[in-house]
Amino acid sequence: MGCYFYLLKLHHAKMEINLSIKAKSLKGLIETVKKNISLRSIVIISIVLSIISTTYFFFNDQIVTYGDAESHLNIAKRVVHSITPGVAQIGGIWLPLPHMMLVPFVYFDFLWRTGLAGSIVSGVSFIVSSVFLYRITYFLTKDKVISFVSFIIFASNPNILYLQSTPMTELVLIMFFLLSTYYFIRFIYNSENIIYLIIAAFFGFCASLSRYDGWFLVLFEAMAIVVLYIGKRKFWREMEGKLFLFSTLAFLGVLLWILWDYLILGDPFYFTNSQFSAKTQQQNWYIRGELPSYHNIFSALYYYFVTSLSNSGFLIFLTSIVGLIIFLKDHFKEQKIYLVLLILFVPFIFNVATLFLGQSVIFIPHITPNTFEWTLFNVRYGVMMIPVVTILFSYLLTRRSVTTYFVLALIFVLQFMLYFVGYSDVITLADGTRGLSKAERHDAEYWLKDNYDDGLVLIDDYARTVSIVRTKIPMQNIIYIGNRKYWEESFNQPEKYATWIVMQRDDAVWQGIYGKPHIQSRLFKYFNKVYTSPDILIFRKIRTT
Amino acid sequence: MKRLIAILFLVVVSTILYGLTIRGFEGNPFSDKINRNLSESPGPFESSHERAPYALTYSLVENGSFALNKELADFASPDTVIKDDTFYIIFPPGISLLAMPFYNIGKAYSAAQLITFAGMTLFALFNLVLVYTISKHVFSIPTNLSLFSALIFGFATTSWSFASSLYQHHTTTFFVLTSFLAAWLYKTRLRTKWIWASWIWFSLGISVWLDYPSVILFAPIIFFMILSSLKLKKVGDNFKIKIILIPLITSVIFISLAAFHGYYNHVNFGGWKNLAQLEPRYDTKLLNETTDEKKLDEIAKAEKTKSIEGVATENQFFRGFYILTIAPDKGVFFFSPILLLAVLGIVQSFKVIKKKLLELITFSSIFFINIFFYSSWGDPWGGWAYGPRYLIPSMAVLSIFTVIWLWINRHNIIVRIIASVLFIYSAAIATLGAVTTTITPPKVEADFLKLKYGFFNNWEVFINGKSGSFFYNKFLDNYVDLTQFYSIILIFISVYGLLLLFIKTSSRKDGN
Repeated sequence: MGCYFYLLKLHHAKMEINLSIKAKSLKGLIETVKKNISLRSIVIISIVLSIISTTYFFFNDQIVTYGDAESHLNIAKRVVHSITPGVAQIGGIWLPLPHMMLVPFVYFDFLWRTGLAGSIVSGVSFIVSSVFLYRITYFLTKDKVISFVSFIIFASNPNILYLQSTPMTELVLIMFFLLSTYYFIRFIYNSENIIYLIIAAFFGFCASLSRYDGWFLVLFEAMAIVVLYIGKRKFWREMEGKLFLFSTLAFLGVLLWILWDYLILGDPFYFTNSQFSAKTQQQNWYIRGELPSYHNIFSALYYYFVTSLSNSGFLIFLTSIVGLIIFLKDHFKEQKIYLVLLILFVPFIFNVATLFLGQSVIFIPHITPNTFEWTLFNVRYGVMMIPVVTILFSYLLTRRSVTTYFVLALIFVLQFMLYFVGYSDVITLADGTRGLSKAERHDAEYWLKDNYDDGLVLIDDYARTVSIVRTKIPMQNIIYIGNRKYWEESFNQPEKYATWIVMQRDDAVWQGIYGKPHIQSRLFKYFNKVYTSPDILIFRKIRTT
Repeated sequence: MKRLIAILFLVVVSTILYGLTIRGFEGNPFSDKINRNLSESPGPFESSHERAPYALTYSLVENGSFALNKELADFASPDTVIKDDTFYIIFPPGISLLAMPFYNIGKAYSAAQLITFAGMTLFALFNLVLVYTISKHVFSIPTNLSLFSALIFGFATTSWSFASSLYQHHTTTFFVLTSFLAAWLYKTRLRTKWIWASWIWFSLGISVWLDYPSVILFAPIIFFMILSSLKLKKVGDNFKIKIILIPLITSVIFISLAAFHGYYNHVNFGGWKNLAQLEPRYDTKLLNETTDEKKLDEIAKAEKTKSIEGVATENQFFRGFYILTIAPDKGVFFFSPILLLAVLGIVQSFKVIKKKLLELITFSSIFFINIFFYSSWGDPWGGWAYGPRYLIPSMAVLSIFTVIWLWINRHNIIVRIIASVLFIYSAAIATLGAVTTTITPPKVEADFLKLKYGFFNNWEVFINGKSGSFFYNKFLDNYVDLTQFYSIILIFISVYGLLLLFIKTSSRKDGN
């Protein structure tokens, strides 16, 4: 500091301190900061943040809090370690790319059981996302500092930091979303360069194989290509080639997935028709009268608005609305900017649409009635809005006034204070630790961990009776619905393969074995009931000498 | 001179209006035998929020103790807590301490309750003058509109219902407004900075004694003062930064007052951080009605584990925001739609009055923080009360922004017509509350108890001819009915307001 402050005087009589800073030094300092803002610095900062937060959540045992987090790990693990290993274990509901990215890491038992395999994939996605968020902001503002602020807001968001430490798939989608968006924006402003379009299509293809949000992304990008050429003299001739070029690659993922479902599971729309699909799950909520946004557009908008706000940070989100107004005002006559915003807002459109159609459900304590059985579920869907919120928040810095800088800095600090004093929850962590998304830890799990010795275990993995990663059971010793031959035969002859049978009231194993008297008698002939609780039974094959 | 007469006229008129609607009765409760149910509604002690501070004032004067005896504890219940078999009121003792001199005067004239309540009216009157002063001098709004802003705050918002009672809101508003004014004077006056900084810290310290959450309303004012203490200018090749240390030195006033309050907590509740609110509540009604021993145990257990955690959370914000803004039982804009113009005023003022940007940010922040905090509060309704009582400081702020908007659009006659209609409607609602009762159930409770909520409840009290006004009940009841009494007051306010609104508005002196 000594080089910047060369004079410090305390006037006793006036009770004031006078500081003097060399203008050159100050300018130099600002220049130094600006100079040091580079992609390399962003990568370094995001790596550090990623490692720190993953370490924190690892030592707090919060990497695999979500039930879905373990399922993602297990799906990937079965590709390499299963009684019937192979790519078919990927299944037909969740899209395959995040699981394929996990495969090299879950091969190692330590990384699989701790969930760190997922942390690596999500962590890398976080770093790439940070870089491309910076690049998008820079492209829109041509200002390094604003872009850096956008990155900082994103990278310091506690919900992002938590999810990037887990095996959840949101960060993977954010990465492909930002990659595709970045190149697509470049294409919008330079439509002669088809390389941008091809790259955007490729990452759109990746997004469409990561989460279903990606399907909307490629659809809206395709629509944006059409809109881009509307009004041009040779509309069809100019648009046709670009649209087909983009669509061929971008929609390939969607096509492949439908084909996969048809070939492996016999129904091209298995992902939405199956009993395990989100749509089927929503039916149960609907029957209970707890699907508030179904065919209610205002509720759908309200729910996703509040969810986005809670994920982005209360103050940051509200400020970004001001940013959006200023952004629109600044680019009022710029037609292309509307296409940019349309693409950036795809997550909003997608989530509102799926809530409205009853394809998904969000419960958030802010607005979900207390009369509902659960008031916290699926709130992580809101993280998809964080990138656009950070861009719009930092956009306000284009108003180059000390007051703006000061107010924005104050809002940023206050937002952290709201988290610190417990006013705001890290809502994605709350959902994983006390919401419906939380992986239930039954007493049976601890019992099995202590008593499992060896042999195959028949279990309905979908019912999540016990956490496989938390027991010592190797994945290759598990018989679940995906090991079709073993699974089906076990329902007629439970003793044929399994040494252990774990069942929870009304799950597939309970219904298929315990619920059928003739199979139940066979069960008791060959197995001892070794663990009983009101809802969970564990059987072990009778030892023969 | 004209201006002085105008202010005097405002003060006289306001004193009359507050006097006409002051709730109470003759005599010295507890000292004298008063042949009436003290807690009856409408009446001065209809709410435990009024009974509890009064009970403490009585205890302080008559018994010299912060602890209440059993009779006073029963009177103040359920706003009473119990600590080591000793009763205290649940609120900080500031209001009761402020009321002591008024109680003593009133007692001498056998009107202890009336004068104690009237003492609080002084703060409401000061607030009207402060609203006028801030509007006129800080934001340079012409005299007629500045007077109109005071009239809005005083008689077109539900602040009126709490102007002659022992609620803390007008005193809090007084300290917030004076602090804002002091912060502005701190910025603009070179020689008297010490005085203004001292007053700000003193007000903050006093607010700790009055109402804990109101302390956060001072945050933007403190920021304003700190920013005004930093001067940056470029001299040659250097940036000169001057940091005035007065705020740092004078902060000792706040620290002393806060420390003294900590000592009060230590003596009475066993620790400097132990607040009365966290002690088990003594609720006579609940105790009498609950016969199940098990349930009583559960209540006792819950009361013993109260914590400050989660009193304000993001989860509660959306519900609270709706309740405090537009809900029919509590919404500030439902009760006082004239204040909707203030929202437009906030937006437009930033564009038009650019020279006062820092003042505008600070002043509007008081409103934003107020509504943000209480929207997140577990009980945004403020119990059974007429309108959103927690937003009374905001009503003062919004009254000024309303006239800022009127000034910005002064050449548009439609604007004035709209303002007139909204003003009369708001005044009608405010007057209804002032002449009837302050205890009005929120919708959630009203639905359960099969009662009416919001001003619909007051309307029912009104058509039944019941009034809490001392003046009406004592002197006018035999001559005019309540409708006539109400109409006279409303017509008077409306005429006064319209005159102020339609006087030709001069230009602001300092331009933009």
